Amino acid sequence: MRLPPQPRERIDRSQRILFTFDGKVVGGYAGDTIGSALFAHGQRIFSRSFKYHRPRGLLCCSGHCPNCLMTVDGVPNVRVCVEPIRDGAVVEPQNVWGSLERDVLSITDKIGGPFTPVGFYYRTMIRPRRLWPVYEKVLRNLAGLGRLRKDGAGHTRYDVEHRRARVLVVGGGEAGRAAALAAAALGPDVVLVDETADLVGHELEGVEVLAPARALGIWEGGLVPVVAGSVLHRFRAERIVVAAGALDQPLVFPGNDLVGVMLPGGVRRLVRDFAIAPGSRAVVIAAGEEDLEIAGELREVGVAVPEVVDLTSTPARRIEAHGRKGRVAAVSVDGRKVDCDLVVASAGRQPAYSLLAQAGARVEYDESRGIFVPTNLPAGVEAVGSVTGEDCVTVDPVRTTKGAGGDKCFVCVCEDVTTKDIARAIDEGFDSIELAKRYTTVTMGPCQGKLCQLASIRLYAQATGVGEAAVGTTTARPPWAPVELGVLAGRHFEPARRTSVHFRHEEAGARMMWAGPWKRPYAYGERPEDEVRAVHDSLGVIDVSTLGKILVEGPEAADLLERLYPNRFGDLRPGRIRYGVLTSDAGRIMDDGTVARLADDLYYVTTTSTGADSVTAWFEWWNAVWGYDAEIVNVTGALAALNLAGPRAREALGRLVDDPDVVSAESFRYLDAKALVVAGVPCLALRIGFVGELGYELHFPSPAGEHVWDRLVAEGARPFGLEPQRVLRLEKGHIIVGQDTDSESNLLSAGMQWLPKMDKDDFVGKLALEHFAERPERERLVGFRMEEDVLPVEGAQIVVEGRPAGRVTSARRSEAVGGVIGLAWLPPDRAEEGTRFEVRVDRRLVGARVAHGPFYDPAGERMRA
Amino acid sequence: MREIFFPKRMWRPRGDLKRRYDVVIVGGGSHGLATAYYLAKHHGVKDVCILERSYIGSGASGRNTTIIRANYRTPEGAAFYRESVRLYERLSSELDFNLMFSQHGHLTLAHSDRGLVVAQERAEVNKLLGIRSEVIGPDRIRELCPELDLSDKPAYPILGALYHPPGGIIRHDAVVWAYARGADRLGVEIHPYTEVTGFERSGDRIVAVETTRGRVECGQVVSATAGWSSLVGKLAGLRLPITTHILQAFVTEPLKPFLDVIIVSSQLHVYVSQTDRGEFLIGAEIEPYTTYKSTGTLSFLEYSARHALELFPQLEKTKVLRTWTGLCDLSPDYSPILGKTEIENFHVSAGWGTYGFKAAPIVGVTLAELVATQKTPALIAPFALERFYTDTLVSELAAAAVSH
Amino acid sequence: MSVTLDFLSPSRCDPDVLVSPLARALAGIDPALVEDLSAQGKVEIRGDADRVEPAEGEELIRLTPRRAFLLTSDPLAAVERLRAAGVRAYDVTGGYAGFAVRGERLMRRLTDLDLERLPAAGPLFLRVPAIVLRDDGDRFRIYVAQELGHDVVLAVLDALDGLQALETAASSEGGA
Repeated sequence: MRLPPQPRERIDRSQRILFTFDGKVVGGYAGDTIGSALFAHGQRIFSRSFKYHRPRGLLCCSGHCPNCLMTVDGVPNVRVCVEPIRDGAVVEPQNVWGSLERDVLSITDKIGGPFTPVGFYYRTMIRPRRLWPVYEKVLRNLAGLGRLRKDGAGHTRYDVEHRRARVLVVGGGEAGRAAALAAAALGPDVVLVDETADLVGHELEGVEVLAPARALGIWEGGLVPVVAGSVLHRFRAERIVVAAGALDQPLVFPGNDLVGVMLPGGVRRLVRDFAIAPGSRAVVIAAGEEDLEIAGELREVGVAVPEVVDLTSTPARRIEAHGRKGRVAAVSVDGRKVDCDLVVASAGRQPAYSLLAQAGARVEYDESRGIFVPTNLPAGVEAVGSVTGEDCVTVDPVRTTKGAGGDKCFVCVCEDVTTKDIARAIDEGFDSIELAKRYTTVTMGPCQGKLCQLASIRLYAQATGVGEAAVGTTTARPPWAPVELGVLAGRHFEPARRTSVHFRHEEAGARMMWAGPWKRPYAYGERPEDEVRAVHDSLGVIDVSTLGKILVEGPEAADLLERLYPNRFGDLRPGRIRYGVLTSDAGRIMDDGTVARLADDLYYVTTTSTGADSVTAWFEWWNAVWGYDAEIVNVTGALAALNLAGPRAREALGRLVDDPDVVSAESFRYLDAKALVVAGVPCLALRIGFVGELGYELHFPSPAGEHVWDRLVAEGARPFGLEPQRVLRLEKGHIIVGQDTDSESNLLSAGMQWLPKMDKDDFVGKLALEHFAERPERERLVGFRMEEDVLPVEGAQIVVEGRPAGRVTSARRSEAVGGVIGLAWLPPDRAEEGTRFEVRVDRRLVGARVAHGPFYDPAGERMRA
Repeated sequence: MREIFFPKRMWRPRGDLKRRYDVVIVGGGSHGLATAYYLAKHHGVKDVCILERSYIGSGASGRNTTIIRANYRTPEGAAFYRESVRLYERLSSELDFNLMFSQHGHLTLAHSDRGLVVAQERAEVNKLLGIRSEVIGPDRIRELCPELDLSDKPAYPILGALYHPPGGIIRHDAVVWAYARGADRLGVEIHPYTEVTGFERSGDRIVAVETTRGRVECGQVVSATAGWSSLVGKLAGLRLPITTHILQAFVTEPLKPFLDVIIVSSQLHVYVSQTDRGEFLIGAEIEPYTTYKSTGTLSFLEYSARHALELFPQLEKTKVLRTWTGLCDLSPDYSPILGKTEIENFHVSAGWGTYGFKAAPIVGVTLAELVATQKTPALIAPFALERFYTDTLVSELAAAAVSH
Repeated sequence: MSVTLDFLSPSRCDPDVLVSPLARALAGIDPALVEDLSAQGKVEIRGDADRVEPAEGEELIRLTPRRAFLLTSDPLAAVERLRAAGVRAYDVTGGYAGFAVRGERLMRRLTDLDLERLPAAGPLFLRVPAIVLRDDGDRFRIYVAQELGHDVVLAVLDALDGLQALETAASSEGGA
């Protein structure tokens, strides 16, 4: 039943909207919330409480308390008091066994009390241990509020908007509006954020109003995220004005959670915004002038108010609410019982300081007014209105707890924490507010402490006799209002790096996989071994555009590389290539690749596929330290790179260049770097042999990627993926940094003693390598062959006397070699050629023998051909 | 059970500091309290005091991910944590306090074949040491966690996982309180709100500890101060190769049971579990920069939310209630620094990164043995500070990339 | 035998063999919404950018004191001219995908950069590194690494979609 039209009502009585609640159709008006429509429909019990399953009704009507949490359209824990009504919504109660009116589990309220005091679960269900999983299952099912749909995939489109504001005002009450208007008079870019719908459609001159919207916090750099619907507005504001107002504080008295006990703000909203009379006979227990006005407002709309008590002008009293079936039926004030169906009870108003505290403000207790006020605001943040403490005062919210001792007396409605629980926690020794919070879980529920922090602190202060100021508040932790994960996540966007040939691989049916930040082909069919065979017998092509590619140019480029690498590059002749490994200052292997000298002052460095950015940064860092005249230019994305490999590589390449003689064995030797024009595209061709056959790595402008690829394939090159490449390189005994080595591997133990030139004056990692050379070796990387045709997993353990003594880092079955080969770290005394060791494969030990050097074409005749 | 009806104090109210203690433990977290408890229990060393600058469990013990597991990469690490899990399994009963240790299993997801190799290596090390641990494929993952998005829709499809059945979550505060009660009842003194401000040295020994409540002489000192380890070390004149980073996490509103197992993804840098209270606990890897500043960042929330939804798109409307940060003391090889130092009577438990809480019981047992006998137990010998001088590191890096 | 940097330049190829990294993502998309600018010449300049005089039709964007980005229709000529003047210049045309979009609102959904202070460069466009320019009015040009271009443009299209859905909703509300 609605009241006659109210002057500021938000409902549009001409627009009827229907939704279902617990299977029944309920109607409301446009402008209603689901909560207001349900209340108007006569619904009074909105939820059952967390622990005792006590009936709960509307309390704050502002989206703070847990009392109206329901499941709406399958989404649990929706605060229906602020959730806009919408046609066809499916609204269901939650955390109920039975119905809202008859919840089987409310038995815990009646008889559970003595057995389930605060922290009871710590004292029980300990033995026998094997029964804990059973108890736990029950506990888990009792806990929690709403139920998440397991199949409910995300369909909402979330987005983020990056905003800037000169002045951002948080809170659209009187003070906030005045501050915004004053700021707007001085300049543009003023934004006002308000969490209610009150300002929707209102015009504030020069001010952009964002509502309903909630600020989540104030982070460094004036960053204020504001949620409006499914968009997160990330404001960066020069000045932030917090006008968050004050929060009605519940009074703590026996029966204070009964349905029909409400806060003045909630009552006012029902009357003013939705034209609903919250009851027919009300008792008002007020804490000051502002609360007292509610009595008049209620009388104006025809609600009888037989009793008004102002706690600020009367001494402590015994107050107790009496219920019938969970709903308030009467209130006793100092023993005098007054029948009523509504109790407006308030302990006053406490500044909503959380945003400020989280921004770095201090929070101090004001003894005279019984409130915590924010002080020492951080630079760029101001506060106006009630949040500063203006017009705020609370009476001791717990002075009425003595009551007549009948019903429970709740400090925290979210977690069902009573005054008894707090007293008990203190008796047990949890004598700091932080410990008590953790033990009783007070302030840890959905209201985030908005309605229970002050009361719990004051209760604490009284019980421990130390004073509120000394008790202090618990840390203010963002977000200021609960926020959906989806809003924080924003758009689903996880970009992959794709080479310029990427779509050709997809078109050829390649199975794409992540390789670091790149997507690469694993193989083009179900039989990677066929691709291996093509490379050995004929011709293959692999997209290696993912290799890092760095130009180093300048008169001192050679000096820079000499000092970055353990081996020499100063004596490398233009047009020649050398393998290089980068070591850290600690002598650990960081990355490897080839270095080609293109001219006296120009080098072309390739890195691993994941190493481009870190190697560039590493080069730049050292160059900044040493100050050489050399530029470091990362051209990884600018160039595509394709490796054409196999016995037919020269012949095929010869057909794509103007003069086949330029690729003849004599003019283009192994480890030469040459400029070629292939299929009309200018290329840097590197003759290297990572996969063990005659091969040319062609580097050329990315946009020509598909063209060159197509021409090579047309010449009969079979595309091969990463998996065949891994087999091919393993046959040659080539390591992969990051797979065969880890963060502790060094050149000496990785079998590359030949690489570092210790007679060089200096290079990064030299000192560490000298130290390694002096100390006993712990392990060594070697090749091995399995004695049986059994493939160990990568990571398989080498077992000596039942203990892990080493590990397999790579292992593959090789047709060309005829057996299972691999690389492994072994104790140095077992690393000699031919030494037998045992690998654990599927719960048994299988023999293997150390085999140094390449397994395939040990003399390297094929790749040098 | 009896204490349900007859509440009893957990520990004595803080008393005055004595002039001297045989053992002074700096840090009233899980490591310090456990060490005190086992000193008294196993070795009869009861003249022990714990100095805590805030409330007990206020540091890393009360801010961690509450995950207990043993599936480490190095044989040294795995063997050590195996003992810790064994102790945790018996701990509720030993301390007569329900720590709510739920061993529902721990899944480390692999989204790339590199990730699978790392998982395989860990599984192989673990199996050899008798730790239940195996690599499983998508079908088996679906059985264990049907809620997980195993389709090819996510940006990083799930290829497999390292499954560790004994892995679980525990009520972290309860561990602190139970050890505190146990130690207190054996005579150990706990002094919260007592900050150490300096150490008085005589040659290679500490003779006294200076605190905000006065000077205390000591026989031996144990520093178990996690994020503050390098600062406390510095007060004693000890350099520790530790950097301090923050780790952030958040919880959502409570929901009915949805997820039993713990899901960790190294590639997405995120872990997700659901507590017995029904909250989802979601966190990320430690922040890459070093800081003591405990204010969290918005980008953490955004990043973790995004990645959690990659795994569980059903959570998109689930609301975040609160976030927090903790300090992590990171060593160069991601293994702890445990035991003796160059200061004769100053022992450390430090360098824990994000895996200190998992080790609390075994640290307590071994460190107590070291303090009582002056001999380093074999189990923790590989973790000595000395290894950074001899370069015999114990690299947990592979396992530690999101190590929860 | 020395090798020159000719292999960096797509302009040395027949234009018909070149494919934009955005070709597939923007197939069938009205260029008025998202216009593919990937083929435009781009030159990376190192050293003293003060010595660089952009020619007619060229745009010089300073990235750091020692690093600048030159947009040009003829990268070969630009590199030659700059090199002759003793400036280290590299044709990085193939390294970047480029595209133009319209509207501040759209841009605010894509980048944290201050739209009043462009051009700018940084890892702030959809969380990937980008160079962002503003033309007269509300046209914006964005250059990102070519290997990320495809996914970035798909996200831009998604954002556009979201805004259009908004506008449609707003106009239908207005009509009702």
